[in-house]
Amino acid sequence: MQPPRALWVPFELGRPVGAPEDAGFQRRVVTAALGLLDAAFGPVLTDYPEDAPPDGGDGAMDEGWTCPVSFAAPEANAPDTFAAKVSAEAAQLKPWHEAWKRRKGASGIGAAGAEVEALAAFIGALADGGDPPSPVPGADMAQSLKLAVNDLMTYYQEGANAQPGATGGSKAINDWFWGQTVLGKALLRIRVQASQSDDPKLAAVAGRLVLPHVAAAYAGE
Amino acid sequence: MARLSDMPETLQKHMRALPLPAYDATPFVQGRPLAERRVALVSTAGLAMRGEAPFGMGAADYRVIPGDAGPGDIVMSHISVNYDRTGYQRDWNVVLPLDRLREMARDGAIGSVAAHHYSFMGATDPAAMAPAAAEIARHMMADGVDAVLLLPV
Repeated sequence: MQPPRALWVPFELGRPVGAPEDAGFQRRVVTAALGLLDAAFGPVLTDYPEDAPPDGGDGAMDEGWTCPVSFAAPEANAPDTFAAKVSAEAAQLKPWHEAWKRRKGASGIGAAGAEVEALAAFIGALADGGDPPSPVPGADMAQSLKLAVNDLMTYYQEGANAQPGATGGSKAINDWFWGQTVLGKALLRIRVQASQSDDPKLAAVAGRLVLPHVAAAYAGE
Repeated sequence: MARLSDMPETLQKHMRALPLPAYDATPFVQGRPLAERRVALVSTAGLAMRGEAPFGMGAADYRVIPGDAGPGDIVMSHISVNYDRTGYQRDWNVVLPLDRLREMARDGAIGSVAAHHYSFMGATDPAAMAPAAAEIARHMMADGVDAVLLLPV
């Protein structure tokens, strides 16, 4: 491609400036990138030499951390449906999401323009094989699925990271989300079911834009 | 860009198969010292101001991030699920380092921070984004911007 000036960084995909909550690290990355403007000749492609520190600080082991979110067992007479179980799980996570909002002053939820409860019920019903009405104003089923996943995953990730001992690392969060949560299992189910849908747009979203590559191991692929 | 070796094998394969656009020339210009420049950010993270329309599949348009925006004003709606979002959730500067730019302007490391910044949703053919990019460039020139940091997510 040969852009005029480029800084290659060795950071995790999704973190172009490298390290959250580390202003000094971020400042060094931004300074290195903007410093390429001083180059007299180009194109310039420079490797950034510093790895991002591990989540949770020096010595933290993202792989060894277990998310302490523990969901209470469902009531004995609760319906054995994804709709009921995802809704119950999302409700159990709510106090921790509230804690996240208090700590950060904000939440990244909002793309869907609908309440978490409605999104959880929608995803659960889809996983049950139903044809629920969209909770997302003005959106078709494919858009609704995508935006519901967008906001629910943010809700779960923020809530989990509000818990004591959380390192904020993506590996641990992925292990927890795809390995332990009902929502993760519901999305695995939706990927299989809705990707066979007669609605080509819904099939495309379900097939390609719900599960990340890292979830393949949990899907038995 | 991250290390391919850090990604799941299927994602590595996908990344290696992505077409790389070829350009006839590499424009290369020099300008004022960094300490005199007005700097803007352009992200591909699918960022929009809260309440704006989210990005959808194939979106080639952009959203404007006002220079005085804060992290609670912004919502991410990138269609990809194949990158980490927990870093961004903890600190928006890991994607859009606007706080760092503001500090650098206060310290005199850069001249000033642009009045507006911009976001695309990067999972789109770059050629489709060209008209929007040209439009953004015109807005930047009107704002006196003479340095842009592109931040692919």
